[in-house]
Amino acid sequence: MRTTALTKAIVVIGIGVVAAIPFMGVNQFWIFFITVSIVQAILLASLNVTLGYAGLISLGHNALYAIGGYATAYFTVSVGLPVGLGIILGLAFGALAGIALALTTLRARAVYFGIITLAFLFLTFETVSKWEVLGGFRGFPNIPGLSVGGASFGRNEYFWFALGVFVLSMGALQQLSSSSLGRSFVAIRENEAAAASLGISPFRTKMLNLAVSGGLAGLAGALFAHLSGGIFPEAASFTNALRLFVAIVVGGTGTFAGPLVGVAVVATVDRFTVNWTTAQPIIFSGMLLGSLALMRAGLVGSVLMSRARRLFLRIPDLETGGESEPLSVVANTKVRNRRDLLTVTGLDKRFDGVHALVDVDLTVREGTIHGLIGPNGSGKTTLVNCVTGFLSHDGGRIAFDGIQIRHPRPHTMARAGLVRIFQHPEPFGRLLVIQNVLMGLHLRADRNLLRCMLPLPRRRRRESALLTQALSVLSRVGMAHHALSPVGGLPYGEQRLLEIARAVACRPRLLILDEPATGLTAVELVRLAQLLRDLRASGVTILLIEHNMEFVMELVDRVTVLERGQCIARGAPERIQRDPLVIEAYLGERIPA
Amino acid sequence: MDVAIQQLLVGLSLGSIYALIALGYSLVFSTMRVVNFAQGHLVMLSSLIVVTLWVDKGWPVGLAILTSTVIVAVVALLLERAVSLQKAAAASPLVWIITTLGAAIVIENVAAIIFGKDPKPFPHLVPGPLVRIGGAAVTRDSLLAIVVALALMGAIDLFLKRSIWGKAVMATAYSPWVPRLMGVPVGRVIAISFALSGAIAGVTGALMGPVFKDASSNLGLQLGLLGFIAVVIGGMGSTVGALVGGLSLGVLQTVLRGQLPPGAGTAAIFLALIVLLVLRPSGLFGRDWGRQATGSEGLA
Repeated sequence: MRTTALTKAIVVIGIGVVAAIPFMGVNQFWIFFITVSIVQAILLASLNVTLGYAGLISLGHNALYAIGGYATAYFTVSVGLPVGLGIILGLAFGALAGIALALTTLRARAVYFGIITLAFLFLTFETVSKWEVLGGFRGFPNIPGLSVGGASFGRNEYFWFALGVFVLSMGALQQLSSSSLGRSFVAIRENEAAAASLGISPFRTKMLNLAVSGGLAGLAGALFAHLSGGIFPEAASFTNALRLFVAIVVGGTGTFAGPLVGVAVVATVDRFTVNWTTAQPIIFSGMLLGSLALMRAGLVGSVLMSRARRLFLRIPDLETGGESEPLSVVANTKVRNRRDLLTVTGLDKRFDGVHALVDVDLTVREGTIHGLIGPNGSGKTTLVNCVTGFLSHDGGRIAFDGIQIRHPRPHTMARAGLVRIFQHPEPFGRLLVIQNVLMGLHLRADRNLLRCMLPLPRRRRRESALLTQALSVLSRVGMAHHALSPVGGLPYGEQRLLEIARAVACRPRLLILDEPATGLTAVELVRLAQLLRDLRASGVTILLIEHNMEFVMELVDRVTVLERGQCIARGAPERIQRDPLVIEAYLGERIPA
Repeated sequence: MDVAIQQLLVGLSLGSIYALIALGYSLVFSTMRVVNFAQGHLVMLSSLIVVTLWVDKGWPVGLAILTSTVIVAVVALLLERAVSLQKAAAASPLVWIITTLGAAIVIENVAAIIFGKDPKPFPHLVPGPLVRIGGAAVTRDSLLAIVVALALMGAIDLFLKRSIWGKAVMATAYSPWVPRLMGVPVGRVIAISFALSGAIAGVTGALMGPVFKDASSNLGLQLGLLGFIAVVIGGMGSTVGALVGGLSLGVLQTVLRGQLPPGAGTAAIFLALIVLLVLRPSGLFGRDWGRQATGSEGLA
């Protein structure tokens, strides 16, 4: 980034100025007020991780905050643990609650997850306000403040402490967002199926995301408990959730400063309407609906804007990427002897009444381009979906590289080296071309959570190595000049090529292409054919589904033909072209002369 | 045995309220793919309007209910405008979630300002001695709730399947694009479904009063959640599902009420909702909307 130095300077000076507030003759009430706002900003940043980065609709994030607060209250007051440990436990309980919520995403998606988080908020509120161990509706008072070596913290000291925690956690988040894990959050937000096809496990990613965000929210709750000396059921109230929405919508999730602005606005409004309890929710709702309406006009930077810059992926600085020497994208292993890479035997799939696949056999030899053809509706895509784990199959066996795979899952198949490209383009539509390819390099990147959150010196090097690889893959499909273009603006053919590049970045051993030639121009077709030959030469095995017969027959080594879910022919392309059964399937019966 | 019949009847009357709320959710969801989080609040609003006009102002009860129904339908139409505008601006479900939640909060607090925060006792709609069925005795209002709910749901079902506008609603439920190509004014169909669900909420508010004994501005959320659980049991987008879901929830709640420790009831409801959503997101009768709704639609 060209502006890095300037940005850094501004951030450092900003932190310095804020840290100096206690010396400016501000009275203790305002110090307390600002500390509370800092804690709220941590909570909002946590919501930002889930809602903004991963696009998971969390409507009850303050439940995690309350859980953190109650955890530290219980462990410091009732159990008698030291405050420092209590705060860490607050973080841990928040993270655990986040993981528990993540478990529900196995079944419940999108809006349903939102409703679950809302129900979880109400459940938390009911529990803490009814359970006497936690003080019931009166709340949990007399929580000790922080003290170091016998000297207890005053408001100023606690302010600095909270500011320190805030700066550290924001720094960690900033690092995380530019790491492979941060990218995987964005990947599942933008396109879960595409992410899974590149080896990113949607479930594990959500789990990680909610653990991080739950931990942050728990931390905020614990900080608040020790700051105010009490935690009350209101922490998990719907009114507080509303405040969070207002802050995140007013501030916008896209920018780093957004949540801070949001918290400041909400805290200020809160301050001035504190005695007006009935009207306050109306004012907040009004702000919420109003800013949603205004954002359409683009007045407030927001969740809804779709500029690449606001989507949390740093625009890679290609100049520091080093010399992009053409790196050969060779498959994981060299082709030794031509053995069977993929073996499907007796595969069966039914959709209610439709028997989509009947006892299908398919064998793909390593190092070949294998064609899979058949009329529309013959089951080609269904077969691919079953093999790659996007559909479950009802019978038969799938073996990849000699290993039996009982329950294929998209991301595990990708990890094993079987990468597919969808029939319709599934790009991460609002990202740049290079960012799309980077997603394909997910499995090659450092995915350790701790290392992703720390500004280690190695990181810069590793990231620029990833960029170099991404660029070399892009140049391989002849799209390096488009690296910084938004994908959404690319013509159809280039989007398809980009998807191939993204899949190739995954270093597949078997690449499955579902009708890649559809909609390509003649020039693009030639490019595609050359690319596939190149890939085969570098050791990638290819399974090609295609309707364009000229294209298929020129390229492939062997062909399998499906009709009505059954395998009707297999063999060398020349033989298949003459096969009466195949001709009949495509053209109908020959009229007897 | 008598106790069982008693509980069944009480549960059914409670359940008809939930079924009507579920139907309101269902109508709006099927045309617009929006969960109207203010549905329970509309019911609450109606019950307050009815009791105020009828008891405080001395209006005839029928006129009070009619007026309330019209007012709530208009409020629902306003809400539809807001949601449609927001939805047109951004594809993210977050937008309509926030819009309907925000509207719910506004309705609740405006109602608290206009009608006061204290619960208003809701008198019997049909006075008279308890009706004895078998060994059980129930209020006439309970039976009224059941009968009206059944009749209303039957009428709505007929409307959806027989009338041209009803068929347009069903078509829009099937796909938001195809009916447009066939000349169906989808925007108007959505407005109709919202107004209809508002009108249903209006009637439900009047029926709910005597069953809940009170009308209060803070009942909206509870009603909305219970109605939503009924939807989850029965499945989105099905009239029969709404009916079965609502009635079974009502009976279940009445039976369980005696079994759980006091105070645990509400928590149990939320827990049940979470478990249900995890186990069977599409309900017993519904289509799998959840999957459809996700697609590649993120936080656009």
